Amino acid sequence: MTVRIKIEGMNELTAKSNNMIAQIESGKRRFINFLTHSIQIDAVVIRYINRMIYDTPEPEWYERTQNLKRAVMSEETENGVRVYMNKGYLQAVSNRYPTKATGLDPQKKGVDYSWYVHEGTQFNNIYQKDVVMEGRPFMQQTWEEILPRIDPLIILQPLLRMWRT
Amino acid sequence: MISKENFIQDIKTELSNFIINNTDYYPAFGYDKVRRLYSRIGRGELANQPIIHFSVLSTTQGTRQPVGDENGEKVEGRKVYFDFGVYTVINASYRDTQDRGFILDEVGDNLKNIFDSQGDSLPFNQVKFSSTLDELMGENSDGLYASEYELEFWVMKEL
Repeated sequence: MTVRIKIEGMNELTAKSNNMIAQIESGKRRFINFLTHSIQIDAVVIRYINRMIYDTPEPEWYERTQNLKRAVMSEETENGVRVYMNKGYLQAVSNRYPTKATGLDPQKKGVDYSWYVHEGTQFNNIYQKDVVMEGRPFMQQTWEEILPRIDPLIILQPLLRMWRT
Repeated sequence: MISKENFIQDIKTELSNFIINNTDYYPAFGYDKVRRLYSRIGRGELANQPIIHFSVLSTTQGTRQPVGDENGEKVEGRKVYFDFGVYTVINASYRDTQDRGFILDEVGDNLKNIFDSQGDSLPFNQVKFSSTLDELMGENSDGLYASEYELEFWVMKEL
């Protein structure tokens, strides 16, 4: 004797279940695209660096800040977006262009200048008196600005839409 | 539509001419230029007028699509979206009896009016000029005062 049980919609359920990973992957790509094209994190970073130029009383600030702008890099990764400062570029210009106020500290040659800008530091200037530079947390400010605009539900939208239909 | 050769430079030239033709302000694309202009103002070679500093924040490539060129021929183009940071800049001696914030507010309003009313003369689409900060920024190391705005638009780039 055979008992056959027929579940209504089983085939559709199986098909949708098999399609879940593809839908999540699609949502992930949409999310990364949203971060890259709608939020434009690198543009927010550059805006904060621009503000340093106009809102900072220290001399010789601009040359360094311009280098910071040029060092902003953005790339899509498998699972997100990476926005960072090009350390190699900053180290190179740090060696190439010493400035009177901050660049003549031998200990600050070839360093990741973006870190000093973000966190603040004291330059032991060999020509003039030492310079204390307050931190300008431009990456932190960027993060605080973009965080409310990030909607992780974008990742689930294709999946939820598939189950509704 | 703007051709792909010297594309960004052509965009800057259009913006520069727009500011020169519609205002008494000086356009600049980089803080180096802002400094050089103020050096010349300091030497009396230029009248002391506000400077409009444009800084490219981002460009985003849009979709490819067929468009008509200036001869009516079908060519392929691509939408390119631009986002500029715009800084209205004055020094301490420009209209020195008035508050810096008041003057910068006036310059910003004037720019907005011009982009709203004359923006159609630019080869740009959906031009939007908006304020990003409610307050002016403090005096910087060069003795300059600034307010920040944002200029967004898209253009069709001939491929």
